[in-house]
Amino acid sequence: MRVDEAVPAHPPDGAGARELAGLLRRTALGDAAAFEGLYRELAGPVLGLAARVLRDRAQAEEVAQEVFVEVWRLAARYDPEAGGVRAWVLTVAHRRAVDRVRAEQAASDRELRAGRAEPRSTPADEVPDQVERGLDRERVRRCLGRLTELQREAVRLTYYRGYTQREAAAALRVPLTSVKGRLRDGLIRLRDCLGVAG
Amino acid sequence: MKRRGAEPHGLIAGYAVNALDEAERKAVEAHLPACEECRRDLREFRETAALLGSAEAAPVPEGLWERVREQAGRTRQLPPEAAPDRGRVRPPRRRLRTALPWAVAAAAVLAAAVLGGVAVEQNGRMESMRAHTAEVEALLAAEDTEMMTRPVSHSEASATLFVSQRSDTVMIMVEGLPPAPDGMGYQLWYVDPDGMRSAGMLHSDGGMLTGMSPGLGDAVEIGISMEPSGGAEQPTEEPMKVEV
Repeated sequence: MRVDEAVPAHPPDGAGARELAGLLRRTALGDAAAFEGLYRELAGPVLGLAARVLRDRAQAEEVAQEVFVEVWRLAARYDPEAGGVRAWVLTVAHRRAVDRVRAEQAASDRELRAGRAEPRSTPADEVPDQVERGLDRERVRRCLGRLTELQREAVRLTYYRGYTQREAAAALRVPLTSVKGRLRDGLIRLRDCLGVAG
Repeated sequence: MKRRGAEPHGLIAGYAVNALDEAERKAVEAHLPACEECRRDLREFRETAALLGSAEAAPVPEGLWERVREQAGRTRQLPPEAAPDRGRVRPPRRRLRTALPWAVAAAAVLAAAVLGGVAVEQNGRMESMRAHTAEVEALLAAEDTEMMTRPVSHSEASATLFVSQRSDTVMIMVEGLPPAPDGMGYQLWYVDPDGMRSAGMLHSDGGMLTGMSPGLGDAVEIGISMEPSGGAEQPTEEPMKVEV
């Protein structure tokens, strides 16, 4: 068994984490300037992630708007024990993007059942995107490259495409239990490779 | 080496990347308060996912902030939650009893229903009823027993399940299915990755169907189909499904 060498890393969420926590605390008190600071830090990742999942720029902007309004509304209820501010905000963003994918899927399934639409085409996408946009992207690309094929597919279909584990299992034609296991193994390997501290 | 995706613990990765269906998500959320290890895994998986997300960062159009600011300006901020004294985390021992006190009451109701069904069926044969009581008690006492409430597919019904991997047993209570016509009943199936096995007939009790069956094995779902009251070798219709 090969021991993964750690990819040279700047600490994840590193220097910015404390700053983000401070901005969020002030946001919770109604400080509009702090809220804008938070937005400036996180709008790029939120928008990019939403666009990646939704593959639709306009919808991604709508999601980003919803996410930040949600952050504003719930700032006082952020629980530091559950993770960093960046992870919290991106979790909200991912959840909202995925919800939209599912709602659209359900609508198009209804169309299909009614015989009104063609099956949704599933254009191939790649993980990682070949375009490199900086260190983060390169680091993630390298770590994804260290997963097994099935681990990578499980991560790709769930995280980047918004599939449920069940849908991913059907798409990959493997048992649901395999997808659950590979997703977990994949995230553990990514966690270690990306240097996420416990 | 235990590894089954059925218990909420095995669903943490899926939960972290929003890849669970509604019932699974609820099961995880019910499980989290009692499982420190799960919360740690979840935190790490979310931080990991956040790095994947951050790597997707895209340029932000200027107009977006104006829209956010404008909408936030019309949105009331919620106060902090009246902190439910979180206290320190209880160890996940005997989780059914300590972690989910409300589950005990539900378990008692369910156990009574299951026993009731058997008592009627066995028509006073105390011996088998005693044996059955012991099985129910053993299941409820098992350390790894999880209680979950799940929708029954293709129906309005919902199922409450007690599942123990270690005792290899499932106890189930189904509400909301129409009564079976005379001569027919609902049969329970263990759905394995490669086929289905009968897990016996459900007993009807009031509007409720109950059953308990060993032999869970590697089943990924429970199936329920309407069959002749004597039971069928294999389902004669595609069963409704409940996840475990």
